[in-house]
Amino acid sequence: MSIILKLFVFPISLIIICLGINTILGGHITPGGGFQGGAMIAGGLIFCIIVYGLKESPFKITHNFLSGMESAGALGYVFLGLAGLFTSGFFLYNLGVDLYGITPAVFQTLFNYPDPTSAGIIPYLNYVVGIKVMVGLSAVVIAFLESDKILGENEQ
Amino acid sequence: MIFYIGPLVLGFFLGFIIGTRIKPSPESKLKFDKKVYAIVFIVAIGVAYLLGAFPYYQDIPLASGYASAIIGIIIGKLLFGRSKSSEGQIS
Amino acid sequence: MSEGIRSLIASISLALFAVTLFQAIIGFDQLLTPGISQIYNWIGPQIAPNAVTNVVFDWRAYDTLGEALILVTAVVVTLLIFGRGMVDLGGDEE
Repeated sequence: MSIILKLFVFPISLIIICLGINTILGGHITPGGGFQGGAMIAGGLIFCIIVYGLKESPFKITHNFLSGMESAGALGYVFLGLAGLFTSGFFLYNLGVDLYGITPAVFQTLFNYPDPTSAGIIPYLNYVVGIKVMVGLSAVVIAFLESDKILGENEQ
Repeated sequence: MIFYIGPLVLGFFLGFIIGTRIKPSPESKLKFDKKVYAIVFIVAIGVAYLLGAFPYYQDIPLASGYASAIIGIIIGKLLFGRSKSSEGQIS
Repeated sequence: MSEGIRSLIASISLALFAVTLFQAIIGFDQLLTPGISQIYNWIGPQIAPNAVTNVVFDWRAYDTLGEALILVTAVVVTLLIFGRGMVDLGGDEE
């Protein structure tokens, strides 16, 4: 890769990552949301990995980080659903906006997103889905880049 | 006026998690020192001002999620982004 | 079958299909009723301004959980195939 690419890719990837975080956080107002914002953050990380290579990349992503974050994202979604199941009778009930009025008011103020709009747990669901998609897409690209070394060792 | 802490806290946390993964690589020829991060911070505040706030938010004229994300990345790098010798903290 | 009979059967079936299709399309807008959409349009802005996010993450959130589990499965299977040197699955020694 040429010297111009190696000079400006790292600052630009920081700008792209912050834009992806902004898209995740505005999922209930603007077009976008969890899946789209997570793909944008993964795009920024993959940009750095391709231009610099796996050894010299500024983002050092280990195997434990990938598996931990993916588990955190998927389990966060399930636990938000289970919280709705145990307080009311419904799985993934929107506890911030109590449409049927069947839970005490404590849970409505606890799970509500502090926002001008009354969106309930929808921004939290966007957040955990964004974490999961970001780590999942980066893991696939890192596995493809590392496979040459492992396949070359197996053939000898 | 009141600040809505939802985007500030969540954006800072995600930026902090990504900032802990920036580690310097000692054997390459490129060095990203403190000047680069200062310029990136100024450009990011400019981008946040030009983006504007979300439609129903009326507290500050910036994009609050964007600004707290770039602050989180820089603080995460300063706190945990050490060299490869002490990698056993968060891996 | 010969060539002529095959083309005759094809043209008759095409004519029947075209007549059925056009008879279902003509006068379609008198058959539409809004129905449940009036309830959704009334109660949607009370929850979130984005109608797509309301449908995907609030009223159909269980399907989005299935979508997230598809992504987990895809990543696990990809890492299983391409990470052959890292995981010792047992089996016979080669």
